Amino acid sequence: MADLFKSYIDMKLNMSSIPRWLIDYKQKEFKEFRSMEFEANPLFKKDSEAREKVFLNEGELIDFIMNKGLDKTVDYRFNKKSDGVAYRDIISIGDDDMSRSLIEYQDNYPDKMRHLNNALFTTGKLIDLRDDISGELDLTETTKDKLEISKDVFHVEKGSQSRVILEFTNEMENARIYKNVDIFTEEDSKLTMFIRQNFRMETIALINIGVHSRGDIEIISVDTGGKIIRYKVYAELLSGNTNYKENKIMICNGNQDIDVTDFVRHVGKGTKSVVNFRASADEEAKVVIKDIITIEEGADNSDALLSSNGIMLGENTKINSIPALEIKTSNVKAKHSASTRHIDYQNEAYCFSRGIDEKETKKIIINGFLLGGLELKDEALRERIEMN
Amino acid sequence: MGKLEIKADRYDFKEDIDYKMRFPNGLSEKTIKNLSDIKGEPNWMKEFRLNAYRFFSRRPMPSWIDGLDQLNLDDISYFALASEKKSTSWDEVPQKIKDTYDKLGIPEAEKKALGGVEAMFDSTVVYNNVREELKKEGIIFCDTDSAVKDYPELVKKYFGKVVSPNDNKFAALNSALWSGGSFIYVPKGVKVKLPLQAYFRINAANLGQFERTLIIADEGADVTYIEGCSATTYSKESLHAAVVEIIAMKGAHVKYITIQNWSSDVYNLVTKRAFAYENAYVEWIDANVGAKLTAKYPSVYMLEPGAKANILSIAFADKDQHQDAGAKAVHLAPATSSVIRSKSICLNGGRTTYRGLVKIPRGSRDSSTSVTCDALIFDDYSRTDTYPYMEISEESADVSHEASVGKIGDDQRLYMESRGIPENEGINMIVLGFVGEFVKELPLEFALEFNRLIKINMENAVG
Repeated sequence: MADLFKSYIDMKLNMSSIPRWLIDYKQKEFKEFRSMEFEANPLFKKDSEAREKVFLNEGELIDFIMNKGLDKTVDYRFNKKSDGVAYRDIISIGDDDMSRSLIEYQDNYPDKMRHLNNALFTTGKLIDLRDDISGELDLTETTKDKLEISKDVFHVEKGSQSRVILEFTNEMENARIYKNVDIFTEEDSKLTMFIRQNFRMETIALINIGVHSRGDIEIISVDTGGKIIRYKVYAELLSGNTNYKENKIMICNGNQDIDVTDFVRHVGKGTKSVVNFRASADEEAKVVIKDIITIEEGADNSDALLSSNGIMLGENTKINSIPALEIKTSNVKAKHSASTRHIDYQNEAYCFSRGIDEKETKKIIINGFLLGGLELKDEALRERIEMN
Repeated sequence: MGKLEIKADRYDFKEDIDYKMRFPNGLSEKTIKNLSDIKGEPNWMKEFRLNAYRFFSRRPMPSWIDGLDQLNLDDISYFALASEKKSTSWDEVPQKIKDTYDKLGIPEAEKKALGGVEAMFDSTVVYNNVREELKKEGIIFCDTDSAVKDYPELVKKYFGKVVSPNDNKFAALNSALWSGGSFIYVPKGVKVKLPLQAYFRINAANLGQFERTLIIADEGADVTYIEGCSATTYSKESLHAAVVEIIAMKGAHVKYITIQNWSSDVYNLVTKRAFAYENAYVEWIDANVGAKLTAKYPSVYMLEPGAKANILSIAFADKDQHQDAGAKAVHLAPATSSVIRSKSICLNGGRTTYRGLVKIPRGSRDSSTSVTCDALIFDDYSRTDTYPYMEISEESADVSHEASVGKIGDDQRLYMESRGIPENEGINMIVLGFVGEFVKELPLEFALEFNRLIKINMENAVG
């Protein structure tokens, strides 16, 4: 079955532009992919659906690679890009040490599909948010074909105060989208990132976000599209006093099957994390939220708060919440809370009594629920989120 | 910070018993047949055991419990008979065995505060007695072996119906090898005013103890059952794999209290489950202080409307201990409610894990659940993990969960100091406050005993 990688190497891509080290790296990642089992739920039962639903089998992958290639599958539209933001195509990155160390970086989260993406990505950007300049970037990534395998790397340099808006969309029905996004923030930097996922409804997508943070980082994400979405965040807080804040809003309906996993690993001393999930599930949507906070030995004085809240709107909806705290040192604070609720009839009655119709009432209540936990000072960004 | 020390060793003593019988180490189908023959059981029970054993043999060891891989099932004896006679008077119990229970304070507690007592020593029950007034009300409290002979219809109807032999590997092992345990039947409308108690003791080395307990509370009945456990420490491991089944009929209330204080060489792998029918109320009050490794998740299946569950789990893990404990609440009918509270303390390299499940399937309308997990971690060598799992498919459900991990805060210590309370004494008060919810659930005599068990040693303060 090693044919898959060979097909990748042989495909009609301009191989000469790929540096040797990148091919070696990809080869190594492919071996890792091969050596690992498909994802199993660490808590109770195997996630037997992972293979069938998310993974395109290797034969189909080979067919796609050989017949179509994957090099032009994503259109990157830079809606706004300020000074201090630089980008390069990741596949022809050259061999400078910094780029190489960012791309080859390996965290402590082994994941079969991350390895696959690393092995087979054919497109992506390495984006530098330079030091001491307040960078601003508004980027839309549109998948144009039925398969995308990509890797984007964001590097926020020391002292940078940056804001990034990243939107994922796609053009074709029944597409499969495999994305790795790795974000590196250096010390004394600050990054606010808004990720908007708005795939077409029949899309199957696997998005892996790796956060390797030594500075302050805030991620706000809004997910509305797709049919089957596996969204994973692997965050590691590496250096003393790193602050990590994540607000995730998921609006699920139809027959969507959404599986969100959030790993937050405190490594440095005095690191802080606040993770806030809000999900609404309507019609026949199924949502699984797994949150795992780990505070490693030596991460003294760390402080973690994890909150996941769901609102169920339909009779056939399902929300599974699988939170976990793994604490390996004593001088820390870690808290987790979760709730699943339905629409409060008193709130409904209040709106009705003021002449607001049923549809608008529902909208007000859901918006209040989804945005209630969002503490965002950036007004422009807040407006944009509310528009979504 | 002051040093917290769990004083469990007052239960660590050994009586040199001249055993009437002890199976050689190791397990085979022959072991099961021998056991059943010795007990003179009906054929249906022998078949039940053999089927369970076959299931046990096929099923792999659970891989998700850390530390279980060190358990060598071939190095354990599966039956040891210390006394051939079960007595109803302590004076008839062989002296050395009686000495054990005297040291544990069981006869004294029976006189003061209990409606009935059962004492299990290694593989068999050596003492069982119930107050006359309870017998007159039709309450049955005996060992499960006797129940198979004396109440075959009741046993056959309910035995293995709540926890089936193929539920999990260790439930299967218990189903194959069970011996002793309590059988309780409380008739309709009868409220048992004094708690019933069983005390399980492992005295022999390398022994497997497999008690099987079945409690049936008929409509409107009310009963509190307390189990205590302890063992002698040896250099080799012992195994305790119990199964407890509770059936709470319409409007019944069952409160099941466990104070687990096995020695540090015991693997404690227990399946506990209750079925709660219409408006029934089941409470598991579960404290795990001893054992090398505990894997125990008391559960309540709420089968009819209005059923309620209350599960309180306390775990202490000292050096080389792993308490993997938790709770399950399965809401299978409308208007059911559950409350799960977990408190854990780990120190000196000990490890606590909370693992829980709440399930509200579609149709269980207007059900609610609340889960709270609090952990205190005392040092950098210890570890605490929390894995609650919530599966909600009913839109009208009301679900909440909170978990927190922390150490005793400087502000708390400062507050104590500012009031002239020495540091160690202050920590003592804070820890006792932390487990106070559990102590409140105990009858007074047991609350005092539990406080004695959790001694706080402030003399060796380490700054």
